[in-house]
Amino acid sequence: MTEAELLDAVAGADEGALRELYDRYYPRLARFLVRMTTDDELVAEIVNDTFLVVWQKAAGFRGDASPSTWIIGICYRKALKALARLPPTVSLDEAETAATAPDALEAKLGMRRAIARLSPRHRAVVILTYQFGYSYREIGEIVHCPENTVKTRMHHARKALKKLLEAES
Amino acid sequence: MNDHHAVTLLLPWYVNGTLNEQEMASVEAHLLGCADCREAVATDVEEARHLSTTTDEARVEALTARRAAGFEALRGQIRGNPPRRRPVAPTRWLPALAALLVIGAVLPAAWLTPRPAVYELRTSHLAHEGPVLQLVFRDGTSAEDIDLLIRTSGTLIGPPSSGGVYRVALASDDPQALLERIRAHPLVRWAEIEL
Repeated sequence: MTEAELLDAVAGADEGALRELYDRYYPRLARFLVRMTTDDELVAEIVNDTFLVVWQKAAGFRGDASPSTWIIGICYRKALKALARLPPTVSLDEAETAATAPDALEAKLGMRRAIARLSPRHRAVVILTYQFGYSYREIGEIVHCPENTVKTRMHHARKALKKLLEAES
Repeated sequence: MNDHHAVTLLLPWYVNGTLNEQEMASVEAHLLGCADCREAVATDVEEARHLSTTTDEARVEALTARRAAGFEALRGQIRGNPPRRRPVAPTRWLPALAALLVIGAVLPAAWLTPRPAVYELRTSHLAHEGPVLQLVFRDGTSAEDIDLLIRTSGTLIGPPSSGGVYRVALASDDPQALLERIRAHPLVRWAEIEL
């Protein structure tokens, strides 16, 4: 079944279809969310919050966007809501590992730390662009904002990243 | 916004390959003559490489391995919480809604608006020497009711005023009794014999 067909079945209260979507999307949403938070319990909670909305609102999916951008958009909003409740954190494990890591790994961890310090909205645009390969139009659909706002947000995120990476080195 | 700034905003999506042909061509044309943008592309490529060769895969795998338990928890949440019903397709209800709006908005307006054409034949512009009744009807009184009440009382003199005051030349021999009867009518807000 296609994802659109699965959503249609979910709208008819088909738990099997919900399970199929859950299995298909879990790794994708987890990859997005582990960049947004270092708390695995929170990742699992946000995934379930996302699928609770998918279950409740599948009938409202009109196919204007792809199922993928619709579901990741829900996940993004749930993540922002959850992160707003928490103080910004950076993994101490990462910082400790970086101190003894080889150069290449250190650079990678430096990038991760820098991304972790971005605001959630900037971080999400960076992740959706570089890690997930979405177009700015798709990101506009996911984060519910105009395309020009996506471009500007990315522009500010890159400037902030550059400063953070310079400070790292 | 100049070309350089416009292209700078597009670079991340030039790097991830999602620009359309026109945007791609304009970025490539600009890159040929702009060292700053070429350097920015190199940085973007590096950022994308760092992010795509993630070291978080172990976390993702550990989380994904727990998804069966996660789904059981979700089942607990959705139990007794059925999906919301599919909205009715607009094409099915829109004409009916439009018709209701017309009925709701246009017809009351038509009823409430004085309609000179209806009364024209029954209106006398001749000087009237007998008693004249002034009366105002309650909001929402239909044109038919107004017509009926006036015809049973006398002859309408001209169209109603802008304030909705109707003047009726009374045909009754006992104007005071008629006035009492008119005042008692539930559709009449105010009635008085002209002095």
